[in-house]
Parts: sequence; structure tokens; C-alpha cells
Amino acid sequence: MSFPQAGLVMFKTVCDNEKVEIFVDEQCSSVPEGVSVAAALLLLDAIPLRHSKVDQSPRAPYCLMGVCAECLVTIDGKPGQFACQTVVQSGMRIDRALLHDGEFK
Amino acid sequence: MYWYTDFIDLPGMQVIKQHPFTSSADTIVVGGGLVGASIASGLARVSRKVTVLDGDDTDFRSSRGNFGLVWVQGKGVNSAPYAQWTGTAAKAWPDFAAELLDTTGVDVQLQQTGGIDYCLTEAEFHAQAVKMQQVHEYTEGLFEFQLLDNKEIRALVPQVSEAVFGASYSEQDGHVNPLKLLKALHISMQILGCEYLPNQSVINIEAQAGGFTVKTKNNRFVCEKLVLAGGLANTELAKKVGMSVPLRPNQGQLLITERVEPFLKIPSIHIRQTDEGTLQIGDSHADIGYDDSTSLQVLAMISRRLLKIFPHLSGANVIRSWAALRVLTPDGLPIYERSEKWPNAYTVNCHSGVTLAAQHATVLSRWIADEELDNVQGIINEFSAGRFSDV
Amino acid sequence: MPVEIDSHYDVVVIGAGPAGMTAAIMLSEYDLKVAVFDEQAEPGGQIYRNVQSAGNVLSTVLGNDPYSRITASHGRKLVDRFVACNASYFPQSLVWNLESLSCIAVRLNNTVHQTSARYVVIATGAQERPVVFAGWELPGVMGVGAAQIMLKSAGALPQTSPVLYGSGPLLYLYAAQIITSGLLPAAILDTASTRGLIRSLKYLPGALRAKKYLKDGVGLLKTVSRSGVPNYKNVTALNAFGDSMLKRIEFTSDSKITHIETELLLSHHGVIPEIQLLRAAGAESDWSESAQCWQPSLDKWGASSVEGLYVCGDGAGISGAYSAEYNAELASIDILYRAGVVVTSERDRLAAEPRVRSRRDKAIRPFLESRYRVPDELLHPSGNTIVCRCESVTADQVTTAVEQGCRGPNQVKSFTRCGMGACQGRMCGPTVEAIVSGLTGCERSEVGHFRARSPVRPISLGTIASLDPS
Ligand SMILES: Cc1cc2nc3c(=O)[nH]c(=O)nc-3n(C[C@H](O)[C@H](O)[C@H](O)COP(=O)(O)OP(=O)(O)OC[C@H]3O[C@@H](n4cnc5c(N)ncnc54)[C@H](O)[C@@H]3O)c2cc1C
Ligand code: FES
Repeated sequence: MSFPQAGLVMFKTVCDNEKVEIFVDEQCSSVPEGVSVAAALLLLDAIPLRHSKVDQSPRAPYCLMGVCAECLVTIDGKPGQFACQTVVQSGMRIDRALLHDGEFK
Repeated sequence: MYWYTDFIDLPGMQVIKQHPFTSSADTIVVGGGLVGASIASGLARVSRKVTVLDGDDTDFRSSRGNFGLVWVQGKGVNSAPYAQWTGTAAKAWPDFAAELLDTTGVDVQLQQTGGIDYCLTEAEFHAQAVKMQQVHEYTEGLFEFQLLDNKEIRALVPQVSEAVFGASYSEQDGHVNPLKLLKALHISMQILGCEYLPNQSVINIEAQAGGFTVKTKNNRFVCEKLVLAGGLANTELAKKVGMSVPLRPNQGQLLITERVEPFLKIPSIHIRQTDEGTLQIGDSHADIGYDDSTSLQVLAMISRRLLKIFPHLSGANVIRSWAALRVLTPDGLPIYERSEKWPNAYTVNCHSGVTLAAQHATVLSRWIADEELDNVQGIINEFSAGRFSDV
Repeated sequence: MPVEIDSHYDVVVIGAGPAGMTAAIMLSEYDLKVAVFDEQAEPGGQIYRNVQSAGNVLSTVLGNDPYSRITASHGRKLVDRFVACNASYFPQSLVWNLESLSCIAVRLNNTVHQTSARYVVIATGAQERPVVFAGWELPGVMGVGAAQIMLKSAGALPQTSPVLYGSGPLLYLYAAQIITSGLLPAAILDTASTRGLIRSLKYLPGALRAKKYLKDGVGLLKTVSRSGVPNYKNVTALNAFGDSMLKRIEFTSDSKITHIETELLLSHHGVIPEIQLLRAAGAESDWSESAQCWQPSLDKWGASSVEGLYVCGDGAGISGAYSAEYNAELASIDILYRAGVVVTSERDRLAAEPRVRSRRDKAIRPFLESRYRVPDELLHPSGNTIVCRCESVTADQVTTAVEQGCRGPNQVKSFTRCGMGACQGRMCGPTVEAIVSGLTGCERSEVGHFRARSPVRPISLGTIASLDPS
């Protein structure tokens, strides 16, 4: 499975944790249980996570510890959530804050 | 001519120590907030040489914490001249904004698309109607307004809840980006030749024949004319030059959200959408002295009230809250004063520094520069501090 | 796990890292009523992140790395003691507003709860020091801390050989960890200057009191040097390039310009105390020239300038995970004393050992601070390098604001929007201060810092409105 705006896979897990299914931009994806949404998106190579609302540049998680605010995504319909401070749950719906044809969805 | 010692000069940035320093500046403006910067740029525009002494980065600065409204509705319920002064200022704003853009390249984002004051209950609505009618009559029709029922409100702003009872609306209201305004005024006054010296909190003033000696922590400055525009600090400073300026801090708390889809063209005193897309949400009033910390209960109250008007904003994320101190006189109206004892000392104090900026930077500055007397004398008499002398 | 947050506690501890856990264990042993709030789903803080659930992750990836094994086993024991203690621990709870000890606002399950305490212990740890360079906002550039979190929490390694940039123990620890697990970094770009190395030598004798750290450090450096990974020294002028992703970097090392093609650049320049809550609570902080950061102003027990408010762990000043435990003990002992639980003599007796340990443990700091001092030029970016990621404000824009008369970070913020975004200025604050200081010649301590305000993390209007009006 791959995401349209993806480059190469940045991180790969070497653990065989249980998996949970989440929906990223409506695509069903399987990720390790217990990881943060930001880690899950990195593992899925769903990068960028968002485009800057100021200059439209693509952005990805920088700190993974709740400092940089680069990982803001919509989780279960709630916008502006810190992906790195939220643990994935089975069935969770995650929407990246991406520009489509120059506009945010 | 004045002295300075030990301050850092931009853009050369060299530290200059103990040099007597001659300047052709004749006026010192104390305070570089919206009022001080408006006056300074107005004085510079009529060719006065001005030095602005501004305070420290962490001083109380209502110019950095205000709501940005250019607001007419309800202004002057207790004073016809104030209603008129405000109305004239709002009318002068388009030219003023255009001129700022022209001189500084900063678009302060003036939008005079009208303003709404929402009333949640029937009782609030009736009280509002009475107030608006009164101002309308005071101003002999200069202030115009409409009363809207829920359906009419939602025709203008569809997102408003059906639970809102009604609102007053005035076409004359509007808003600007207050931080862009502060920046534009600072750039403007410097382009026009003012010297701006930050980190120069004035600690003492001595008046003598022919001028004033103004002392800051490290420096002494001498000038002929002095304008006190130091916000709440004016009460203390004014005493040194024989004026009594009763002021009190009145705290207001505000919230700001992340950028959201543009949906709100018409500002209100509770919410406005900035040109960046963030929502600025207010406000509260508390007389609690020099305290600019926010309080949880007030922030929650502000949020609850806002969500009653705009329930769809419940998911919008608040990025920051703050509290700022309004500069209030006992009756809430400005104090424009020239010292009787030292006639070259002036003071300018007001709560609505955004709305009135257009007046302060023009007619009021010209009055201070002795270039305009007739037009403003009525206003000056009206807003003299003398009105508090028997209190 | 308790379900309800009470309206009052003897002590509220914010953060469940080594410092917070230690304080909670000790205070609850003396029967004080303690609540611990932490945003994470599991206790452990940064260093013992996921030690409970991810024990197997670490042994799979880092089975052979003795350092990580020892750390994990120490952490697991601490977490076990914490979980067993009587403190009420609320995972996934965010303290977003600390107005005073009598008004502490906690977000739990999208609802705001207000609580109060006689004493509050801030144990919120550290953040990586933001050091900006052109292109640092590109996807593909991350903190080394972030990569280590991927390792600890998800057992994940980079898929491609990363370039590591910066300096400090964590950089070399992470390098050693991935080397041990079979992944060689493409290069290490070390920014520590030779001058810093020489200067640090005079602190070496003092550092010998903390032998364990020196030994560990030497071990890490050996692992890295034996691996043969190219290690560039005195690195400056790093630029990252790419359109939608990082593609290439350029830098100067010992006056020579080098290019490397890479898709992952991990940057690290040490850590600084996370003091947003402390500042929002109105407590004072001091600029430390040796540590190049602001630190809370504390007495020898960790009491801040706000009555009843304590800070311990890295939030009190960077000193590492073991010191975090010792200074948490000291803060707890003082709280016990002030709460009337122990008398003066008992307090001093209890404090003797942690104080000695803490001193010994911290003996390495002066050496590390000078060895890994961030060279000044890295702290003063120019041109269109982005300083504020949230609002995309460049170094040039900050410089212009200073030229327009701004003399402090708060005025710069008003003029440029720098620091107005969702990170609340955590990522740009230090750079703005450095630029103002550099241009005006004012000391950092005089330049000051952004004012911190609640919420310390964005929080929805609906959540704020959920507060019970009574
Ligand atoms: C990326 C990184 C890697 C590190 N690696 C190492 C290492 O390998 N070896 C080493 O010796 N040291 C390392 N350190 C340093 C080490 O982590 C610290 O010395 C130690 O964790 C300090 O403990 P603490 O309890 O002060 O803070 P932390 O462990 O950071 O714990 C603070 C806790 O507070 C929580 N918190 C913060 N704000 C709030 C709030 N408002 N509401 C609720 N909860 C909140 C956080 O979620 C966190 O769980 C590292 C530091 C960082 C930043
Ligand atoms: S990645 Fe930095 S806040 Fe989430």
C-alpha cells in the first residue's frame, strides 16, 4: 500500500507487535498496536502529514514529543490534533491536512 | 538639544557611552503604543522633530493585546461629543489606512463591513435597542443602526445559532489587524523622521522654564515640548508636570484560535476573524488592578458564550489566551489635556486607541503642534481632565 | 486507575518521567494525597518511554547494547514501583493551564477538570534545543530525539542510512544504538568546535567524579568510530535541499564544502528545560550562559519563586535521568517538611544521601556543557531560513523587526507573528532571542523571552467550555 504524495519509506519496524487497523485518508491500513498516530503515519510513509496553512509547504513530524506542532492532523473528525501525542486505536480515522489542487479539503 | 548616555544605536549598533548629544528634536513623546505612535507620526507629518521614548518589552502594552475593532456602536451613551468624535474617526479611517499603506507598505487590513452586537436573550436585546437609539439621537443621526431578529442575523451570518435572540447592526463598524497597525505606525513615524528609542522607561520628569528634562534608567533627555502617551503610566508621569490624570486598569481576556476556513466577514465585540484566518474571541471586563494573568473561569465563560452564538466552532482549537489592561478614565472617555502650569506638556489617554488612531494622528497631533486650534477646541474642552476635579 | 479527578490534593505532580514518578512514590509513602498527570499513555517519560509495553521491542532491536539494557531494566523497576504506589496516576491527561496552586486545569477525555493542591511539582522534562538551518522544515529532517522515540516506541529504524547532525551525548547514543542493530549512518556531522573540546578539558578532572558517564560516553564513541562511519568535524553552514522531501545537504567541515545526497537528516543539539508551564504560572527563570538556556530560578530544594511550586528533573535544568530522581527526592523531602510531616532534623537526614548523589551525578555537566557547546554562529541564522515553522517567519523578517525598533522577543512577535503558532514559540523562541541579542549587543538575560500563556498546548473551545461553572 502506498500514499500518493509519498517518497521512500523512512522508517520500518522490526518488531512483531499485534496490529490494529486504522483509516488514513479513508484508506484502511494496518499498523503496530500502541504506537502514536505520528509514528504510524511515518511507518506507512504517509508523508507529508500536512501542508503549512501559511506558505503551503509540505511538513512532517519533527520532534515526536509534542513540542513542534508539525504533526497536526484530523483524528476522528477533530482537526488540529497532535498525532505524536495520540495513540492509535483500532478503527481510528485519520485525515492528513493536505492541500488538494491548492485548497484544503 | 538633549543628552544621552549608554544606549545602543541602530542600525550602526555601536554602544555609545557618555556622549553629550545634540539633536534638533523639539518634542518628546513618552510611550510608543498605538496612542504615542499615532501622535508621533502626526507631529512628524507637520514637520516636528520628535523623539519617542518607549518602555520595555514586558511592560503592560494594551497596544499588543487589543481586539482591533474600529467600533462606533454604543460609543458615547453618556456623551454626545464622544459619539461624534468616534463617528468622525471611523469615517476618517479609509483615508488613514490608505495613507499608511502608501507610506509604509503595510496593509492594516481595514474592513468596514459593518459590525454586529449579538444579544442572547430578549432582555439583552431590549436594553441594546434603548442604548442604540440614545446614541442615534445624541449624534443627531450621525450614528446609524439597525435591529436584527434571528432570521435577519442569519441572512448576514448563516452560522449563527437559532438560539440568539437578536442583534444590533451598524454599517459604520469595522476592524483592522491591530498588530499590523502598531507596526505600520512605528514604521511610519520613523520614515517621517521620528527617532524611536525603546527600553527607555521614563522614571522622572523635571519641568523648568523653556522645557523639560526627562530621565530614564540610563539617560537624560531635554526637550521643549512633551507629550505623555504612556498608557496607565500617565497618572504618575502627569503629576510631575502639574496635571491630574485619573486612570485605572481594567482587565480584558481574549482567546485566539488556529486558522479556520474564512466564514466571518462581520466582526462583533465577541468574535472577529482576522485576515490570517484565526479567530479572536473576547472579552471580559474586570477591575482587579495591575494583574494581566488569565483566569480559567473567565476563559471558560468566554468560550461558553461564544459557542452559544456559534455552536459550530466547538472543535476549533485555542492556541493562546491572554489578558491585557485597558486604560480607563473614570467615565470611560478620553482625557486630552494641556498642562496649565507647564503649557508645553500634553497628555493623551484613551481606551479606544485603534478606533481613534485616525484622529490622533491628524487633528489631535496638529492641536499639539499648535497648528490646529479652532476645529478641536470643543473636543479638548470636553475631554479635559478638569471634569474630574470636583470628584 | 482512578476515574475521577478530585478537587484537591496535597500534591499535584505534573509529568510521569523519572522525576515525577520518584516524587510521587516518595510523597505517597508518607501518606500524602498525590495526583500525577501525564500526557502520555504510559508512565516513563522520555527515557523510559514504553518500557512497560515495549520491553520486547528494545530487546529485539537492541539486544546487544548493554547500555540500553541497563537503562531499560532500571526504568522498568522504577515504573513498577510507581504503578504500585498510592498516588493517583492519570495517563493521557494534559495540564494545560496552571494559574496558581488553587487553579490547575487538566484535560482528560476532552473534558476540563479543575483541581487544586497545597504543592505542585513540575516534572515536565526537556525538549530538544531547536537549532535552525536552511531547509530544516522539509519532510525528511527530524530530531534525533524523534528517531529515538520511533525506536523505543515502535521498534522502528530508519529505512535508509540517515545523516546525523549536531552534537551531544544523545546524538552519539542514537548512532551507537542503530549501529548495534545493524544500520550504519551515512555520516555524522559534528558541530562541536575544537575550541569547545579544548575548553572542556579543564572540567575533565571534575567530571571524573561521575566516572560511569565518562565510561559510557567513551564506549559510545568507540562503537561509532569502530564502525567506520564518516565523521565530519567543526561542521557549519548546513543547508538542506529538496522540493517536497529532503534530497541533498550541503555543509562546511574544516573549511571544506561537502555535499551528500540523503533522504533523512537527524538533527540534535542537546536538550533544554521545558518551562512553558512554569512560566505560565508566573515563576521566574534565569538565563544560564554555560547551559545556553533558560532555567527555573530555584532554591536548593527545587522550590521556585512561586510559593509551593517545585520543579525537578530536566525541567529544573538539564542533568539526566539519575539526577532527576535525586532532585525529585530533594523536592519531596522539602514538601514533607513544609507540610509538617517531617521535622528539620529528619529532613536533613533524609536529604543527605540524595544531595551527595546529585552532586556527584551532576559533576559531569560542566564538562558536557563546554564539550558540546553550540557554536554561536549556528544560533544566528540569516536570510530566508525559516525561524518560526508554524508561521513561516524567516530570519530576515526577524532582523527587519529589530531594525524597526523591536528590542525584545514579545515586540518581535507582534511585528512578525513569529511565535504565534501552535507550538507556542517553543521552536523559535531561542532563535529569536539570539537574533535580538546578536543585533543589539544586549545580553541574553536582558533580551528576555516570550511570555508563556495558557493553554500550553492547543485545546478546543468546546473542551474549555466544558468546565463546570461552579
Ligand atoms: C529525546 C530525548 C532523548 C533522551 N535520551 C536520553 C538517554 O538516552 N539517556 C539519558 O540519560 N537521558 C536521555 N535524555 C534525558 C532524559 O530523558 C532526562 O534526563 C529524563 O527523562 C528527565 O526526567 P524528567 O522526569 O525530568 O522528564 P521526562 O522524562 O521528559 O518526563 C516528563 C513527562 O511530563 C509529561 N508532561 C509534560 N507536560 C505535561 C503537561 N502539561 N501535562 C501533563 N503531562 C505533561 C510528559 O508527557 C512526560 O511524560 C533524553 C532526553 C530527550 C528529550
Ligand atoms: S511531531 Fe512535534 S509535536 Fe508532534
